[in-house]
Amino acid sequence: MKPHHQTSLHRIADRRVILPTLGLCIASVGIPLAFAVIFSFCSVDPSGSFNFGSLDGYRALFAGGRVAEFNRIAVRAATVTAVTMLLSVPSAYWIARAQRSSVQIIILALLVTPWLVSDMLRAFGWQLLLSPSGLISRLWSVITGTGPLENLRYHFMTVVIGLVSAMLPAGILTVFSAIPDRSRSEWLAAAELGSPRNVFRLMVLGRAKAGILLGAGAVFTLSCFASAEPRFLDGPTLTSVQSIAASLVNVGVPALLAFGTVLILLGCCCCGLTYAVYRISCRERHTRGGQSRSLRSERLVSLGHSPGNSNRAPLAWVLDTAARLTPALAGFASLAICCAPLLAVAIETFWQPTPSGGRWTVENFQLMFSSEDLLGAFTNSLYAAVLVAAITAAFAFILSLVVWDKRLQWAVVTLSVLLVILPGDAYAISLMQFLKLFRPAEGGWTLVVGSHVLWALPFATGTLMLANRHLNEHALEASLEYAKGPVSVILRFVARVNVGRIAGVALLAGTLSLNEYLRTAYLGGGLLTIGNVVHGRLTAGLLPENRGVFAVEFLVLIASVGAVAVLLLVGSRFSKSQSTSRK
Amino acid sequence: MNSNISRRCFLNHLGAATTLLMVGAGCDQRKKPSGSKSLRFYGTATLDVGSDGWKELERSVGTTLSFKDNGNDAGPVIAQMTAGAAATDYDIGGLLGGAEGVLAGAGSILPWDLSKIPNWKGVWQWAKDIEHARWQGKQYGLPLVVNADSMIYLPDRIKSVPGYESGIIDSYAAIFDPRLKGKTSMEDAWVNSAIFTAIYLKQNNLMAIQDPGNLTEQELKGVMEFLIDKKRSGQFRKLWNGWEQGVEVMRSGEVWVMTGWEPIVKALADQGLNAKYAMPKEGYEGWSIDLLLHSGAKKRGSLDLCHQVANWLQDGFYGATLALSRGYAVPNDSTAAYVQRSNMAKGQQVLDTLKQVQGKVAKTLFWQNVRPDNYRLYEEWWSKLRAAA
Repeated sequence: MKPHHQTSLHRIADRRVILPTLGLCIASVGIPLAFAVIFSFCSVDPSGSFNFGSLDGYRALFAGGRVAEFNRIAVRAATVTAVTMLLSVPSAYWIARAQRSSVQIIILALLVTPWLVSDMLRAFGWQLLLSPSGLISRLWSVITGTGPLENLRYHFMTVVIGLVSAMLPAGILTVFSAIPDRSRSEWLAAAELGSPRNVFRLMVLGRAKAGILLGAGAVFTLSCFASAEPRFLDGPTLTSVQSIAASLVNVGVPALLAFGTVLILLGCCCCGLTYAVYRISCRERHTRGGQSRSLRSERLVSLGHSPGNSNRAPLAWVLDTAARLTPALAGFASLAICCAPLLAVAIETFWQPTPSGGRWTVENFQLMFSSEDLLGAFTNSLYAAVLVAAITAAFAFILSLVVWDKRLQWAVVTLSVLLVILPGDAYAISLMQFLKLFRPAEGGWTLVVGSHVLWALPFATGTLMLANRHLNEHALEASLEYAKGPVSVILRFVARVNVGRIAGVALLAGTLSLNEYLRTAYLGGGLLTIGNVVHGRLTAGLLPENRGVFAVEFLVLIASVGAVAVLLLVGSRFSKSQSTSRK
Repeated sequence: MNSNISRRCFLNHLGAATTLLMVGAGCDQRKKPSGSKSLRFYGTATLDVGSDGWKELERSVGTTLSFKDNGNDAGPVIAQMTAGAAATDYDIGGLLGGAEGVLAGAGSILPWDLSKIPNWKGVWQWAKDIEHARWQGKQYGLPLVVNADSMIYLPDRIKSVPGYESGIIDSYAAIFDPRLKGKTSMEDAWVNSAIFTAIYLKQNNLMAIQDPGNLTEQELKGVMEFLIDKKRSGQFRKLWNGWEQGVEVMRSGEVWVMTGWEPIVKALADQGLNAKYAMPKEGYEGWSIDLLLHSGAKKRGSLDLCHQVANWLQDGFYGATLALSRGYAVPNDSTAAYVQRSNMAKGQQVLDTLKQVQGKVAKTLFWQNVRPDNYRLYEEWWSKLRAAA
């Protein structure tokens, strides 16, 4: 980017707008974090008081088999990331290439559905699907005529499958939002210059590199922190960050806080390392100057059309065919994997077990409507989700403006990393200790909504930052030239162009909030939520009268898919009308 | 089309819809009329008798009750009580027995005034004698639910295994028997599985153990190394976690015998399976879920109300409801008296549950303890078990 561009666009990242939001977020996470670090060096006496000057918490962290457990989680998360991204990249390309926007809308709506259901129920769904008496085993028996399939669940690969299913939306949506819009001329140029595989290489591996990296990072982190899938699918014993955190908190609160502190340190190291690699690559690119672009173009032409490559023709044909077919295959596979556990939940919605096996029924809906607790939990969750969606979208939009301010950008990226890797229970306990300084702390709405916003914020901000990178620089400069000031450009141009994506991240934040359990358990006070009800029922037992939870989740699912579809449809009509009016 | 109008229309509609949703959701918060008494109960989900059950409390005592699941895992609950806000957020709690000492020491719970709970007199003596419910001579926990756990097994499957042709299991040896390799399970929690293993090793003279519920460092090492060896040899199909998984591993036939909670047998029978609860010669694991009085009750001035509710919970209706839905017993005479005076349709089922629990407790019993002396070492060893490959 040329220096004068940087200076001019830098104005959009108006610090008067960004700094208060960033400051609020840093204070919200920084103060409890400071308490977490201090308390991690404490011991707790029988009266529950913290005494500074002890390394017991850190000793507990490395005692027993915990290091081996961490290692297992890291290997699992790496495997999940590799498989998810292998499916996500071609799937995102397939969606991006779809000619009709309605097709894109339907696929995107279907892809986000796994996130609309509680992670506990989703994992529970996989457990049922992979059961020897489950759908997959039955289909196998019908096709092959052999007995039921055993050993499909309760091992390493089962958790990987469950997690891939849960992470695919994150992977695909991040890569998809980084791929240039189908209407952009680069697509045409890439198609003119090279074969199908080169179009894929240029438009995805080249242009969407940042999205792939961000997606991989998000998938890895979310996989590390996932607890429901290991709980229902791991075997013979379960290992998850939450099971380790529960074990540490039983040893003592300082041990849990030491865990949070070490994770934060690791996160900061990763950030520092990434920054160093980024700086080095920038320097190298600068040294190589403008050569690289032309060299890349030459290489592209030579790969696609060089007559000297005749002996490689069969290989090229295979690669081109793969480039044509793989995205569609990966797309369909992703859709199937994403929607499979929901099918099991949907079946449970209309099923009531009986001594003779079970029967189809709509009784679960009657149970739902007759349960005041369930309806109350549903309403509470919905209310919190709407608030979280609105606040997160607003904050994320403001913070995403830092793409035009490199210094602040690193502050936001670091904050996002901290927010993602800080364990929910460690954050909640530290926050409570801080609040207790002023008055006897009580949980409630404010703390729940605040903690959910901070949980959803990094994902929402990352997505909008990617979207902002695609805004046309010349158009931005022109708007800066003619508008009254940067605030006007932010509201009338950046927000306007990104309105669909802002709605998307609001929805994402709402769904993350809807089924969050851990933070709500610590900070919610007496607040009853769907996450809490589902967790309680699956832990203590689904009595026949409790099966209304399936009905309520089914309704959430149907309503949310409908909302996503309507939102995307309205967004697409809006952008279509915008382009028509411009013509 | 004018783009500005279009944008404004879209944003206006979006804003209006969001506001409507928020207002709608906000209006439906089911706020209780001001002045009505209301309590917050933070307990293991097993204790919940649903809105119909709590309506009976409202009719009898005149208070509404909001129940919230605490997740059942003692460690996080203790953390929420001592370092979080659960002690002040809720009036009463229900947690596995044994945590009273640590919670009372931290000032998170208060002692019960037994003179304000007339039904305490009817509580079975052995339940009154449970040591972990008291701290410094005061009653901090009221045993609300008690039971004695052993093993669940599938007789029809077991019959096919040499040595088990009778279809009966009467020893924990079955859990560790190589002939049942890959077909057995325990709970993925030391609080239950360490004690079951210790009971097996102690009662069969395989290891010298003083108290299976409170193992010394050496005893714990021996018990856990035994379990790790069994895990490595592939003895366990899956260590189950949570009720639904406990039911599922047996229902699917992947597990033929496991240590577990008695109501799982009832759930399996409800689904048409022939499942039995074992009467092991080594004895049972006894446990209680105790009712706790949170310090927040004093702050809110609801101490008397909490005592009234505690008295109602021991009055019969609650015990009968829980016995029917979960197969658990509230350890007092009031439940049987309630069944008789109310002519309950399934009264006999309730009485059978009470009789069964009394019978089990009369046999060899070892009490579970969520806070043994070496609880930190228990956590470390369980972590080693989870990491063992």
